[in-house]
Amino acid sequence: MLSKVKSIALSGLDGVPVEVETDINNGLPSYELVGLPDAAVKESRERVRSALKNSGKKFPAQKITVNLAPADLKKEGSCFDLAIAVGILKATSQLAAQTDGILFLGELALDGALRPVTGILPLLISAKSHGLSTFVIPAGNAREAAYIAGAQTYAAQSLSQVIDHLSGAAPLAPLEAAQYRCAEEGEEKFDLAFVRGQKVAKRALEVAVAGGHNLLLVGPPGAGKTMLARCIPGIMPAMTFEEALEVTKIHSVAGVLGSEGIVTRRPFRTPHHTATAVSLCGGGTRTVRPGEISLAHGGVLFLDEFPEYHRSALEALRQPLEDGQITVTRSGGAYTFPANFMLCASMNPCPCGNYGSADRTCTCTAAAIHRYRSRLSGPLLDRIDLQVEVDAVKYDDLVSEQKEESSAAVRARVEAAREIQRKRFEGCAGVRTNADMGEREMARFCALSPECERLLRLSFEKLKLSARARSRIVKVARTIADLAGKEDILPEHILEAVSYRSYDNRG
Amino acid sequence: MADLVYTPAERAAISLDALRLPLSVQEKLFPYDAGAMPPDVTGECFRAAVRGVLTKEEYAKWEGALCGGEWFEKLLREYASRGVACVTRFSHTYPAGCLSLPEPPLVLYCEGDVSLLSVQKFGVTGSRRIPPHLEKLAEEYARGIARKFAVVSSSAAGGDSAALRGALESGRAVCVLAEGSLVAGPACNLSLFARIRERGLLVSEFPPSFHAPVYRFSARNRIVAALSDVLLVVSAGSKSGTLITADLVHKLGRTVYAVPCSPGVAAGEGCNALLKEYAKCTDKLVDIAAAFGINLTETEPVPLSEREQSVLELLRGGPAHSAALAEKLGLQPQETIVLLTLLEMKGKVVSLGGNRYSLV
Repeated sequence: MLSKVKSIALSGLDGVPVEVETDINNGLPSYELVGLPDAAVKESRERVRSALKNSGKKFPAQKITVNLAPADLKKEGSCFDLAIAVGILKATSQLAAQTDGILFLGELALDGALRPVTGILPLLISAKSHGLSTFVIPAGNAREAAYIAGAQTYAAQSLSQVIDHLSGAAPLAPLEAAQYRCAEEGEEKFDLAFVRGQKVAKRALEVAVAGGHNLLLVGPPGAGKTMLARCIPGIMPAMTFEEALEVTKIHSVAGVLGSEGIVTRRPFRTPHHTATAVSLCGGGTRTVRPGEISLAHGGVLFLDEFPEYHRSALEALRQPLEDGQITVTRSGGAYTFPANFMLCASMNPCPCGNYGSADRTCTCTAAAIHRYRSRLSGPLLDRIDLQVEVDAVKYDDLVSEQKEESSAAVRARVEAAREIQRKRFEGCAGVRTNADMGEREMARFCALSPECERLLRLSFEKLKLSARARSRIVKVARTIADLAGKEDILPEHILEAVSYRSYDNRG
Repeated sequence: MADLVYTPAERAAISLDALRLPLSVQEKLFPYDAGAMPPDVTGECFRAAVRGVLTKEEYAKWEGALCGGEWFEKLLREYASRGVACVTRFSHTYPAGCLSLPEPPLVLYCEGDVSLLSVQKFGVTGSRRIPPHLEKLAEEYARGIARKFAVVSSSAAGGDSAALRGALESGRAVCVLAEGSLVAGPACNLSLFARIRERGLLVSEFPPSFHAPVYRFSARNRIVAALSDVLLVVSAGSKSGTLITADLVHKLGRTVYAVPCSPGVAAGEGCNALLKEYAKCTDKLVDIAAAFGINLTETEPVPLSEREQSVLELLRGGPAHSAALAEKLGLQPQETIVLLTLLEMKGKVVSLGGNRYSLV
């Protein structure tokens, strides 16, 4: 007898519907699994056999053929276990219930329990767009799946629960739709209120986040660069449900989703400087998985000790920094992952780390400093709009009673500036923040008065900035004007923006 | 440039220099105490001496050079195509100062305007590890001095490069390289070398593609000293190579100026030592301008706002952090940054790194 059960396979961030066809014939007992299964799928035979037996069902001593259609798509992972088990039950008439239009996902344990699988959110979203709306999934994935609106989702603990539900013996209640609630203030572990001093750097952080600019923090070891960077998610605007869903999809596929079921806080990723280009951008031998830059989508990618990263890894960041997404191409196909992140990098000012320090002398020669800094290529530095020096914290700052501004207060200003930008770029496709502006938008929104133009020209002459810095300075000046709530860019905005490029002219 | 004609003595010197003989051998052939007197290169006596130091094949090769040997003509053509002019100890353009050196270079490989060898030159030098405000000062001094003199310095990064950069803004610069001009570093100065090649003179005692060992780098200082009719030392540590230059200049009987430095600053210890011994003190460009009759066309004073004045007043007390300035001025940090950037553009302050600023 033949049975057909629906499941779905992951391909990049999308799902491809898979039909699990099971046929049982008389003959020597055997169990064939076809349809390009990988090792994890093939091993499902043993799991399904034990799970059926331990759920009080019989595993037929006949010739069993299971086909995963479409047969030319490679199948990976353990998420088809449940669908195969249901298929065998139906084909052997141990289950008579109707299963048309129901999607099964889940990994089986030998005792028949259901284990959670990765990528449930993108899989179910794809399934919905393919016209399916009834899902049976492991209970461990329930919190994640609850955010899919307009679907009937049943979360089961074990195979026997699924059987009882289908046969009507003990129907499960569909999952209640979860309400999205973004992370609340005060929940952040890192708050600007805990960072003493560093007024210049804090201001730069605010400007960078307000305009979506990338940021380079330069400072001696122990100056608090990492602490400052960790505060960035806290001053970014709260995530909307759509954003959260998108981020959750990526995290779900990568299997790094926490227990909350949905990502409510902006991600903060800190890959170590030994990271390879593939681990940053995504890839893999069999399954193409999103890399760190995609996991940082919607949040911050923090690269500590920037010049220590492999050159190839850093250069690979250039294209995603421009496009906000990355296409990973492998022989098996091309997969596009979103990668719209804010890059925050940190580095020492010189090899010994003391350049510019008030009380420790730098022992590096100018040539050594030049060599150290030239590890970062010009095109990469071009994409980092703000370069700020962070200085060592003074003892007085650490013990001072002065109240520091909290992240929440900064976030309010950032959100106001973002709102101005949202209105400004309403008609411009692909432009959301000042940092995204192209030449056309800049000509439209960043008109400079003759006075500003004169100042800018003067600053280039006197401070010996590279000509490429011009558009970045203007963009940052636009953001500073937005923060000040000004319609036009004023001379002081230009000057402040110029001060954030101080790293260009030296070294 | 293409039709440079060398005398037999010059040809002998260039060809033997191309063989890179050890200095002791070189001295045997071209005794230092003979000065600019060319040996009789066609005489049997000189040839016998050369035969004594070269192998048979080398000697045959070298002898060919004197009467139009192919390898030597090719070498000269290559030098000419690179714009390299060879000034030997026996050339009339050879700088007199070099002859008074204990080890005068046999050949100076010059790129650029060779006539700069014979004009009055002012040496401006500073150590490699130079604080940013002194770097700016070296630049400013050189800019002023270059209005009247050609400025000489070495190719080292730091103070010397700053002086060359400043000089190019208003006049001409002579840069003494530590290696052959094709391979000379540091890499951060390559664009500077290109500019000097066009608007000044690059000098090296080594053939264009010769890599000198690092311990020979300080040998260039003696050429800087020989080319400097006056020397200004902007910064020097207690063991700085800059002091070698200053001592040589002093021994040549020429004036040395030094910029004083507050005690405890490593980059100024050498300068202060020079001041204690023989150097003249200068802390402003006008000192030098007055002594040498340099006409500093006074640029009209840059108008400064009241706030800017107060920032400058605070910085008189020494380098300060921008946050500390903001607190004293009662301004927001971003407002202070704006003021400091403006002052930096007006050339009044300089960033020391780490958000600290100092007066120029």
